[in-house]
Amino acid sequence: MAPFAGIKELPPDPLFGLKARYNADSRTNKVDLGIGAYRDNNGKPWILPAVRQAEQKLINSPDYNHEYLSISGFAPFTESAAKVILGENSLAIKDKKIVSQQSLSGTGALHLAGVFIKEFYQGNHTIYLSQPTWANHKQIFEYIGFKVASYPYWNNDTKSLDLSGFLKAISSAPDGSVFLLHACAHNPTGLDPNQSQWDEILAALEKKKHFIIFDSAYQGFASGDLEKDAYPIRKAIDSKVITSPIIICQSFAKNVGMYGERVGAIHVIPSTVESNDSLNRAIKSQLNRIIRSELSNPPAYGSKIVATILNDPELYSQWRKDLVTMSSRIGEMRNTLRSKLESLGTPGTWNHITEQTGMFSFTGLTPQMVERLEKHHGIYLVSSGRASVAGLNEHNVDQVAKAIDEVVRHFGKSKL
Amino acid sequence: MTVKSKFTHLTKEEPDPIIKTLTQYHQDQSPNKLDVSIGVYKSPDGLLYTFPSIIEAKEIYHNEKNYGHNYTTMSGIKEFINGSQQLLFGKDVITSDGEKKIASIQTIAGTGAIHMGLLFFMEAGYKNFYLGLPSWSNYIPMIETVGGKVNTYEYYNTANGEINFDTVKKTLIEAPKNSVFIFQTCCHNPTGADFNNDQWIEVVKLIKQYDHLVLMDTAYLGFSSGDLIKDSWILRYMYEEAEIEFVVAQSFSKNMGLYGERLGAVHVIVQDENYVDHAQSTLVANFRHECSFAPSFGARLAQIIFENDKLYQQWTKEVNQVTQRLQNLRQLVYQTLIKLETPGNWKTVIQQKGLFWYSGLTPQQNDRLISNHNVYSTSIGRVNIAGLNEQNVEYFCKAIDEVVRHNYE
Repeated sequence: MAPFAGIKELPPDPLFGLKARYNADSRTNKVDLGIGAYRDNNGKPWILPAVRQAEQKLINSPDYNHEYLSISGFAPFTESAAKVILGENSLAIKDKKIVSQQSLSGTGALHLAGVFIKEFYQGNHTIYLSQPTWANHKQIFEYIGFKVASYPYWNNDTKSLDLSGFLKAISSAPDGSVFLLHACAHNPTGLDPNQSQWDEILAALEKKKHFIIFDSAYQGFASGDLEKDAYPIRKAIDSKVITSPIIICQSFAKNVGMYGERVGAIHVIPSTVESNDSLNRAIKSQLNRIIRSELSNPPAYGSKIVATILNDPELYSQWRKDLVTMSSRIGEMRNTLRSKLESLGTPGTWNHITEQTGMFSFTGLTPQMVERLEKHHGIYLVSSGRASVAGLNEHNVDQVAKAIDEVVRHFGKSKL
Repeated sequence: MTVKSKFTHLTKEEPDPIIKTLTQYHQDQSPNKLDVSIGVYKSPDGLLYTFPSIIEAKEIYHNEKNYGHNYTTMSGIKEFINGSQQLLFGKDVITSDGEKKIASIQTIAGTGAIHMGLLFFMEAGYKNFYLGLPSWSNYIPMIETVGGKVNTYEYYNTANGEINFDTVKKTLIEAPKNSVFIFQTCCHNPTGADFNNDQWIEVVKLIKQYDHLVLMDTAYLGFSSGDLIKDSWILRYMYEEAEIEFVVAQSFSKNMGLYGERLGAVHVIVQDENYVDHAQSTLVANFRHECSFAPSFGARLAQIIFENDKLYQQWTKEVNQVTQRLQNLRQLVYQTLIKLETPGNWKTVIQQKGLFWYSGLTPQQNDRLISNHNVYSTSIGRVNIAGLNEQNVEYFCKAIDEVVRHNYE
């Protein structure tokens, strides 16, 4: 009798199943548009110059070691991470309305936020996710015990934001529900509300006293501008549009290229209108308790790199340039893909490719088209039609455009 | 406008006891202060020690053409996982029959491995956990966090400084079937007291006979005998000879000095090879939900050491040197206490192994060590031997001598 013999095998994570199939594909012209990781114009992982310089500075520092961080993480990192997301002159920071902890990148921050809310939030324990949203969001929160609901976001017919559906969902949800919002560069659609739309969304959320979790995984990636990409967060907090609690889950995987080093932070703002030191200490101690029981303390190396960049004016300036480099290249690829599709006369409209922002394009291709792209053309997309634009480059964009043209015509023909 | 916060019912948690002691230590202005609390290895100069093999691995790492910070896989860096399995179970086990009955993923150091191990047992329906006391203080909140039930028994007899092996056996016999026993592979934290080989064999026999499960916390490999392979013999015995199923939580914080880089792995031994994939997918799914990926930097350094035979040999020698130094310090403490004719029996300091000496000092005596001598031990009397060196041993022993002789009312 083997005690573990009864465990059922779970299906592979869809995104990583895709990666496994891509890796197993022996075609030389295969293209990976699956996982959202930045690539340069030669399709290679890119180490930001600011990161290289920060690592050199770190290595040359006489007090560099591998000592444990505190349970809350590396203080120079958490403090500067809060400044990046809320702004150098943030009132919430000055007034000490924010509790910050280092987390295991964005996923770790979301997990921590979920455990914390589940245990201590006295409002409604249903979490509303955008339809569609990042594949892992549902799993993260269901696993912790939340009831997961959704709100309309993407209008598939018009390939635009379903603002009225979104606002209606906010209004009809029970007061004090939890809403998970993508701060910018929505994953998987790449479509963000504009500023006036954000203002409407935030006003509706405040009216119902909902709890907001901002998932901020792409600050600097949407527009190349850190401030612009933090608009809804700063509006909600420093302009006090939102008076209910807010949690920000911040990741430096994409915008600093820290992916595998797992650098992130969770910021809890229990109230935007008043600060409460003893409450902040209570929150911090509970977050520490959760972290201590699951991972003890967070990984040091990546947080030291990011702290070095954020605290050194020259490196910070270099980082801003690196953000422009990445977001510009992605923007160019969006333009090129769209113009090639239009030149080919591919059926349908393709302006949404350039209207979307961030790393992803929600192409509108059907699952059958995506499957054919993979099988017939060696081009790997998520079955929802999400493509990582960062996987495109000058060497493969023509091939990708022609392949998309072929699959669109193929299934268009079969409808006749 | 006054808004009633929705978090007002939160109570303030007490800080972790060790963190509390460390905070006191850092706030202490005395030039004579001495930190022998948290389990971190230090050089003779009292600074955090970085293994030379790690320094060399870092140099190799930064000069690699393809170095970077990419995502790895959800199971972790494959070469690191293979190396960590071979370290525990031997190279022969991996290659001899081509079968590997081990599901493994990289974790956030040992704590992350224990957490994943606990979740794994819970997922498989085994929720009843047994802890020998005294134990590492973090186990109980970790078990409670995942919803498991904590049962305790006396592992170590503080009065005579020995393992209460009769109680261990009695507990194994009386515990309900499918209980999960948490043991430490070597260098027991906080007592430093380990089963000898005969005792281990008897424990494993009872586990098998009474149908229990085991979580082997393996955080100090190499710090017992100085030999990594010798220190993990019980794991190979369980795997190959006893053929039991068990979970190993492995940490490289101490034996590679990678503390804050959070390098570890969890291994599940499934004796039916048809179900190894099931265990693997369960580990990966749970890890995906909480962390997605483990941090890559520390794993890359370990990979470099595992793949470079010269560096690997160097690392094993360094572990041996560290262990020798700890043993020499223990001898020095013992001899100094004898010379001072400090009341009581101090043989425990040389009988115990690893970073920790479970001194037997009372909470009052430990408080007095702090208040009167600026010596920061833990309130339970656990001393980190690595905080000592030739310059401060005499001061340390005199402080102990004084608090032992002091008349408490």
